Amino acid sequence: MKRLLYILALGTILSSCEREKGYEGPSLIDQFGDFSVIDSLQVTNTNVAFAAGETSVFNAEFSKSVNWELTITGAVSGAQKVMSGYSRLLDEDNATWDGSTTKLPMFKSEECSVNLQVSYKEIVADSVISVTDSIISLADLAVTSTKENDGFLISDFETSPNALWDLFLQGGQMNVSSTGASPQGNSFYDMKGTCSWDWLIGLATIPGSAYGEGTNFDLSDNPDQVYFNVLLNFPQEVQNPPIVLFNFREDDNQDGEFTAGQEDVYSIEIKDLDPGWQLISVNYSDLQTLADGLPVSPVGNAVKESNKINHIEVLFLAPQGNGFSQAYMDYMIFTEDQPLNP
Amino acid sequence: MTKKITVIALLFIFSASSYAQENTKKFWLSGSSRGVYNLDELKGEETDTTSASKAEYGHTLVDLSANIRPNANTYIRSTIRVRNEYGGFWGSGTTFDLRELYLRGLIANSVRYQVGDMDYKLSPFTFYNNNEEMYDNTLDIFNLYSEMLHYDYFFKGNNTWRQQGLATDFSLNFKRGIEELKFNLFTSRINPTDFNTVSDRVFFGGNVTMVQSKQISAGVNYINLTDIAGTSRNVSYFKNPVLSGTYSLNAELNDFKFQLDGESGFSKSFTENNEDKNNVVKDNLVEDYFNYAKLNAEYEALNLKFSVAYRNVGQGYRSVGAQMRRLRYTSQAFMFTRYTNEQVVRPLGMWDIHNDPSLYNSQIETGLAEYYPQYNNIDPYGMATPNRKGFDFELSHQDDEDRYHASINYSMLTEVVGLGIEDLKNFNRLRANLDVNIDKILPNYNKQIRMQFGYSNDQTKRTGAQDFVNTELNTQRIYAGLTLELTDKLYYLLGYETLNANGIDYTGVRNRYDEVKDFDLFKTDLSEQIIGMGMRYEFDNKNDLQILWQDYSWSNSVLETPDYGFDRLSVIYLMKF
Repeated sequence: MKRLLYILALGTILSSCEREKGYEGPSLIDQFGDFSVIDSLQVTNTNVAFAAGETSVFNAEFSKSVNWELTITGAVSGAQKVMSGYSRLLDEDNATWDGSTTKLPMFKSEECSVNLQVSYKEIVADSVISVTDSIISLADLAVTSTKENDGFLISDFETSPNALWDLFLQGGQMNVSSTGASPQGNSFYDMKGTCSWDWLIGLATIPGSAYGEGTNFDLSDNPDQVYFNVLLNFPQEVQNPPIVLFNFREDDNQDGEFTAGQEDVYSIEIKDLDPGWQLISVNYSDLQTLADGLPVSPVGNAVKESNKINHIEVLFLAPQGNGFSQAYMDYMIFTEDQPLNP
Repeated sequence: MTKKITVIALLFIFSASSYAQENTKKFWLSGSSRGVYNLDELKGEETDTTSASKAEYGHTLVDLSANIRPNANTYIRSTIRVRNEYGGFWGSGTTFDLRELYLRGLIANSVRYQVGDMDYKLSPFTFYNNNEEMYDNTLDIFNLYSEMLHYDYFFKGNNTWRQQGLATDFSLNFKRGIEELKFNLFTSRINPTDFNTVSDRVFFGGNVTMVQSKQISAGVNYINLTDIAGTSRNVSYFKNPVLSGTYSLNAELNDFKFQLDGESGFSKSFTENNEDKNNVVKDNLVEDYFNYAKLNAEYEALNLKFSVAYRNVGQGYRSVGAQMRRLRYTSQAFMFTRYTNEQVVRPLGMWDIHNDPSLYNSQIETGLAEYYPQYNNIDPYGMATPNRKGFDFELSHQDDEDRYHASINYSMLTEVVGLGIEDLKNFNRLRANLDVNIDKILPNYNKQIRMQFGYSNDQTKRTGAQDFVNTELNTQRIYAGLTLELTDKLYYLLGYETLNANGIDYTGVRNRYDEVKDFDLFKTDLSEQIIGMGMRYEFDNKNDLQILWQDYSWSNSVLETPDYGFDRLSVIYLMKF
């Protein structure tokens, strides 16, 4: 017994000698250490062809982890890509540009400027100093070809829409325009007009047959995987606020026709947008059947079947009798598995 | 209605007492009472015309205990506190509280039990009520306030926590092999359910000690603080089990006595079924171990005691019962909360710690609470302070004829792992105390002359490759006191205490799971002084009257708040019966 207790006491002291190394909590150096740039900002592939699948990687190294923000601005388009993070290194894991944009419009083939700014705290004379958004590096690169997005493109409005689109106008126009800033390419769809007797100013009916051999759009049969994307801009100077309604007609019984009142229609209604071009992305599973803007029960098989969409209707609406209204639309595309990353 | 019931209860108690006195002490009354009157004066800027500079307040209270012994093996105690604030007339400002209620007894002459209120502790690493900062070696003149505060909170001298629950202990004796097996078990409720999101939280545990002989004993401690499933709608449950093993070896060699005590154990702290905002179950498990050993040596011929202790407490060691702080962290004091014409919040000082009962905790709470680095940056959670390892030395000498008592302590600790960086903080603490009874030195002098001297120096230091890593925080405390018996039972008291803390250190900011998520840069250049004097008249050893005056000053140039000070005149009457 005595021997056992002596061994226990000795073991107590000896077992205390080894313990895991490291430190408790976040890095103190990151929190309060001196900040310096060890490797200044470097850009790989300064003439980048995104259409060929190329990317640009931004590399930099700091003395400690900081909150950083990298902003790429197109010289012609004014498009902006913003990447941010909290780290000591910028590298391919956190600072790779695939040509996408954060703030519309999309990039063009153009020269771009790059700036890198950081925010951090450090100790100066026993006091904690906060440095916010300090620009530490500038760089340039050129986009030689823009990013191509995977998906089922309905129209990018660079040319007139498909000839099989059916337009119905009530005192309005629906035309491709190149007179203003386009979020993608050089043109967009300009919908405008005045209708004193109805909310509907213009209607574009887009048949699936316009895009292939069948009558339906060639989409996945899993509605969870299908996203509808469109770029919209409601001009702020317009007094009569526009509404854009998208109807997706399904051919539930696969007879090649859509029968109103017997087959499903799912919709999304867009109104009250923030100023400027906005990306609208919606998962097909989230669509509802609408009547006068309110959800109602579907009249068909009540199953969302994205592979059975055979018509898309774009309704340009505005409160009747309130005068002129206008909305811009661009780059209408279905994507799979994820929303459009423009 | 409550008052009526209380008055009837008191009448019953008094009448029962008269009856009981005639019947061999089946019932008797005991208790204590005090009257306190304070006149405080704030000394700030002379131009301060906004703050009230004086406050007079006080109270009278009686703790009346009914002691009932219905039979030889059962004892019941109930204490009612009647408190009347100074200036309260005809019941205004008067409170009646049930301060204490318990029953204890003996079953079959072998199993003791206690139900209701109880004071309990196990070991400094499992369940222990650590003294608050600057309590040890308090001068006689300042000790009165601490004693009242401790009495009110049931902080007894043996570091127990007041709990409400059930406790039992018993032992088994053996004829051979081992002498005795002792069992101690307890359970208490820390907080009740609100039948909504707060579950019943209980604290339970105990120890088993095997006494092999006078030379050898060993034991096991276990405690667990846990939420009870099903007592609320909350489906996540906090748990903090701790298991430790203890041993004690004793030996004698000529005039030397040796004792080796040790304890080792481990803890877990986690929350079952805890979901974060993304519905991901995260139990936030924190676990670690500790080792502790202490060798005591006593040289009887010179009444000299020496001890050396080693401790290694992991950064993840969590034991709510041992790491709970008496002193709450707050940035706002009770008295003179704001001062100056700008009405800035008055920073807390050691005067508040000595005097303000609102700064203290009465119940165990989870989590490593914030602390005051300027007063104790080395072991704010007692011996169980996580992330500490190193040695503690102590040397003390008690004179045979009680002429003096001297002690010196030195601690040499480091962190186990660094805080935010691999460079470790080093902690050094030196404490020295000397009590001299001059009347025992002087020949033919029988009136008490007692002098107390003390010095302590705490240093926290870290050095690293980068300048900002270098930190140093020093705290010095010097105190001296005199108790002089002028005439029979009339004493003159004098005391002076000064504390200086300066330097910087990084302290961890913890989240609700006690994980360090950020750091605060603590800076101080603190200077505090208290001088006090007074008179005490002892009617007898249970009954005295004291008139005390204190002058306190505070200054901290780092905080950029104006210096301030207090004067306090107190009249205090204490009686036990």
